[in-house]
Formats: sequence, structure tokens, C-alpha cells
Amino acid sequence: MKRLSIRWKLTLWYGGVLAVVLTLFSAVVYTVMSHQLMERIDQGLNEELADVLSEVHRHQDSASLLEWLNRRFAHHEGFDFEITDSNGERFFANPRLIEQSLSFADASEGNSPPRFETLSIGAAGRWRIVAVQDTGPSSPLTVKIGRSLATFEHETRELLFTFLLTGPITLLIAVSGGYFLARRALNPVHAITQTAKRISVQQLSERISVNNPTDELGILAETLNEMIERLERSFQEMRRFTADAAHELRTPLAVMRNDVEVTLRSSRSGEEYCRVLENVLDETNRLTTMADQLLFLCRQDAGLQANRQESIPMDDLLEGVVVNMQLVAGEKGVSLKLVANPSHSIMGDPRQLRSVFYNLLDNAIKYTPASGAISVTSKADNGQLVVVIADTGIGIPEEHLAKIFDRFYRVDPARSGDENGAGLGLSICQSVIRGMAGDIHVVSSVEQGTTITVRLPQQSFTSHTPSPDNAKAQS
Amino acid sequence: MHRLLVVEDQKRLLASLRQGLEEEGYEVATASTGEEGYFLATTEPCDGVVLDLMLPKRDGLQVLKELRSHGFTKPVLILTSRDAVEDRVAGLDAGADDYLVKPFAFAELLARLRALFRRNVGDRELVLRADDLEMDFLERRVVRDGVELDLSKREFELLEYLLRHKNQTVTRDMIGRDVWNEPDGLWTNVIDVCVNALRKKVEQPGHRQIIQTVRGVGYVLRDHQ
Repeated sequence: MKRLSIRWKLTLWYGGVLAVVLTLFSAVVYTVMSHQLMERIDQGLNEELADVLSEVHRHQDSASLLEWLNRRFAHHEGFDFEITDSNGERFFANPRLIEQSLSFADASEGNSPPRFETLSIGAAGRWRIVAVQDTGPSSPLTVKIGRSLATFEHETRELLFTFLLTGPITLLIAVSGGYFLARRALNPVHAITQTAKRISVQQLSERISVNNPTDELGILAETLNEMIERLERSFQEMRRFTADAAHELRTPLAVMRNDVEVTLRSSRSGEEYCRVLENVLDETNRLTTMADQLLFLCRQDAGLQANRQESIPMDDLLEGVVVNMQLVAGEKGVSLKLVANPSHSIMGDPRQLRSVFYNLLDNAIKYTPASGAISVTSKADNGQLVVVIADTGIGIPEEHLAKIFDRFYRVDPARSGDENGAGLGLSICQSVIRGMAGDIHVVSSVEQGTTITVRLPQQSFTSHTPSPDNAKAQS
Repeated sequence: MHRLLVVEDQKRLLASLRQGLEEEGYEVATASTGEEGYFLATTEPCDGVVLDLMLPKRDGLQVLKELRSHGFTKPVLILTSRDAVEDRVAGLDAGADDYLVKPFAFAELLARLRALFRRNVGDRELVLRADDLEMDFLERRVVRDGVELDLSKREFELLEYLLRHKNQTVTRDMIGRDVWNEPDGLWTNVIDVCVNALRKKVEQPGHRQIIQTVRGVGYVLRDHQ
């Protein structure tokens, strides 16, 4: 049963149930019909009995009774009569019964009601017989009336035959209809299977066609479509990421290779060799930074980063970072101020959290022109520590806002020569903050400035399930 | 001078390490497999080992454990491309004195080796000098050419670090770690800014330039005397 397709299972169940129903129905009809036929026979016998008894009562002497009986019942369609006296001698019988006798049937005693019995009488087949005792003109008489059951048996046999013949045919028609219906009902499933088979990485734009979006299969198809869409989106993201990563990794390699190849084409002065080697060193450093950042993100993604869990005094941390970054801001002529900094502690990895704020402030300073201002505010809000970094910088255009946390994403692609990384800084910030069950959010308007809000739960814990590695690192 | 054993399976890295270390005055023996490294460490005299972890035949960690269990007490510096905390812990547990993650700055390798061989000499001097610059820790003041310099706390610490490593190149990572106490380094140019500010104060017009930038590596404070 397990190996059958749903279509066949449905059909078999349907057929099985129908067969049971048909059998029950036939059995009931057969029983009721034969019962009714028998009742009609008994009713006929009763009527004849009443006729015979009225003759028996009407006549005072046996001779006239016999004459009347002969006249009325000697040739009576369908019924046979036999009347015996108290000694069992035959008093009257219709001619057909000369050879046969209904004497097997016992007459009922006295004034008891007539007795009905079904008997097999030799070659004559089965008979329905009614017998009653009555006071005759001279002596008590036993009246027996019989009716052959041949017709009855013929009729019931035909009924049975009809059932046996039409039942299987009905079943066959119904089962093939059921199979057809099951196939029809399951057709959309087939279509879904075919489409799903066609969908590959190259063809994620394909969708399952939905005929009736409200029925069960329609809902299934739509759900699958939504899933395919999510797949397509993440594949696109992956593709973009790979393309960007390839670009970021190949560019420094290309620069180095070209520099070195060109230099080696002829002999150069020592200074020139120095210059090329220094360029190579710069590019190597860039690649090293990128490798570090990518590894960090990969580990964070995989939950392999061994994040320390310790109580971080946030006011100290913020103050340290801000004081350090004030040097950088001061050199650019940007004012950097720590506006509010109440004393709070959260749980997490202080190294990672510090690098987040260094990164955010570094960005803020980079994109804020001279004489601009950056403010850092920290406050407790609803069990969370909220750190807001607001600058009066150039801002981020609307269309870039949603993507600035994407890996390798740059608002200005021309800045790709930037020493401080390959557009991974903000991704790392987001990854760290989320790893601490926090949230980072950006609001910006062009030429007005950017505000970054970092929310961290005050009872922070890592969202990563503690792996054995983590436990080891902490022990 | 110190005699070093360098065990590293990448031929080019081994060659450049040998050249660099020899130019720094070390005597260098090399091995390119774990077996060979173990053999040399136990048969030849040496003052320290630079050991790669991923080695053919016998893993660096295994070599280290066996060396330590056979009473090898000389300092061992591990080179590894595995920088996860548990790898570092495993290395240090196996008996390493220090570790360095590839790719590393050669200047940092030199600094670490110096630290391993240092015998606390000149480490806690009360007055440090370079050229005509003098740093007095008792009075906490810096004087150059008879003029006292007004340095911030951070600039003071930075100058002290450069003076303690005078004539040695220090990387930004080292400065970030040792002066700023940021073990992962600073992903920002705060060090450059601070060095520039320090330079402006230390190298007034007419003074010789003593803090030099080593492009792609870091800084060095040169004592010309």
C-alpha cells in the first residue's frame, strides 16, 4: 500500500467503500424483497383458506361439500388443496395432487390459527403450505392448501442474479470514474512537480501557475512560489556577493601583478624597486584586512565566533572610544562630543563592541565635512541601552539606505580605493550587534546628516547557541 | 647572537624568513617538515624555535608537545594561519610562548622574538634618550634640545613605546595593542593621527626628523647618535 501513488490509493479506498456499500444494499434489498414476496404468498394462501373454510361451513353433508369443492377448487390456478378427515383419509384433493400429498404438513389443533410451513416435497420442489383443522359436516377435517414456491424462487434468483451482474459493473464504472477524478484532482500536483523539477539555479524566475488561488492546491502552489522567490532573492544576493568579493579580491592582485610585471621588464633603479615593493606591501595589507573581515563575518554567520561574555561598563567603553576618535575628528576640524553617558553595563564581548563604535565613528568622521559636528548619546530605554550617533555630514541618499549593511556595498563606488576596507565595516557592525541580540538602525537625509541608532539589551546574551568551542574559549 | 630554528613547509616563506632573520643578526637553521624540525631541535643547539603549525608528516602542535615532554625549554613562537581563539589556546597549552597569525608583519615577528629573548634589561629605565630628546619618567616630562614638550597622556605613552623600541620598526597593530590596549588593532586611522600630532610637537622646525613612517608597515624612531 505504501508504494502506491496517492491516485491509486484514493481509487482503491473509493472502490473498497463502494463495494461494501453495494453489498450491504443488495443484501438488504434481497431480504426485504423475498420477505415481501413470501408475505404475498401467505396472504394468497389465507384468502384461499378462507374460501375453502366458508364452503366447509356452508354445507351440512359431506356429499354436497365434496361436490362444491370439486366444482370450485379442482382446477384452481396456482394453489393445490387437500382435505383429510380425522383418520387421515383423504377427503378431497385437486387432481394434480392425486400422486402427491401435502400430508407432511401438520394441521394446527382445534381453533388455533392456521400454521404456515415451507416444505420440500420431492421432485415438486419447495412448497408453501398452510394447514388448519376444522369441524367438518360429519367429522373434523384438516384443510391443507399448498402453493409451489417455484415462481418465488425464480423471482428471487433473478433478483440475486441482477445484483451479482450489475454490482461489479457498477463498481467498475464507479472505480474508473474515481480514478479519473483522482487524477484530475491531482493534476495540479503533477504540474507543481514538473515546474519544481524545471527550476534550477539558472531558472529561478520560473513560477508555478496558480489556477485557483483559494483552494488547497492553489494555496500550496502560492506558498511554493513565495519560497522560490525567497530562494531567488538569496541567490541574487549570493551572486552579487560573489561578484563583489571577486572584484575586491582580484583588484589588489591585478595591481600587484601588473606593477611587478612591468617593473621586471627592464632593469630599474633601487628607488623604483622600493616604490613597487611598497605598493605591493600596501595591496597585501589591503588583502589581509579583507581576509580578516571576511573570516570574521563567515565565523559570525556560522556561529563559530568565540564571543566572550563579560560585563561591559558601557560608559567607560564609549568614553574611551570617543576620546580616541576625538583626535581623528579634531584633525579634520569636526567636533565630536559625548553628550549623555549614564553608567550602564551590558553583557558581551568588549573587543567586538569597541570595534563597532570605532567603525561607526570613523565613518561619521569620514563623511562629515570640516566644521561639522558629531554627537554621541547613550540612554537607557525599556531595558535596552540605546546609543545614538548623529552627524551633520553629507548623508546617505534614500536608495542606498537599505543596502548599506550589505557586504561590499558602497554608497560611492569610486571610494573603492579606500584603505580602511572593502565595504565590510558596517556589515561587521551589524553582525556583532545582532550577535549580541541587539539592533542597528540608520536614518539619513542628504546634506543634513546621518543618525545611527544602536540598541543593545541590558541583559544581553549571544544569540548563537553556545558551541563546545565557545565553552572552551570561555573556560 | 641568538641561534634560531625555523620550521616552515612553504619554501618561499622559509627563504624570506631566513634572509630577514639573518639580516637582523640571527643565526638561522631551517627545517621544512615536522620530523626534520624535531630532529634538529633535539640534536642541534638553538636558543629558540619559530614553528609553523600546519606541517607535513608531523603536525606542529605534535612536534611542540613532544619537544616539551622531552625537556626542551627554549622559547617557541608559533606561526599559524588558524587564528580562532581555541587554536591559540591549544598552541599555548601545548607549550608555545607566543603565537603569530599569518600573514604577519615581519617587523612584528622581530619584535616578538626580541621580547622572547629579552632579559628585562633596559626595560624599566627611568630616563629614555634618543638624539637630543630625553624622556624622564620620574618627573613625567619630555625635553628636546632643552625645551620641554607639552604632550597629552596618549602622546606620552606613544612616545614611550617608540623610545623603548627605538631603531626598531613597530607596526600599527603593535601600537594599537600595546598603547591603546586594543588586542584586535584599530580599524581606523587614530594611530596615524596621534603619531602626526606627536611628530608636530617633537619635530619643531630646525629639529631632525626622528619619527619615520615605514610605508606599509608602521613607524620607527631613529636614534642618530
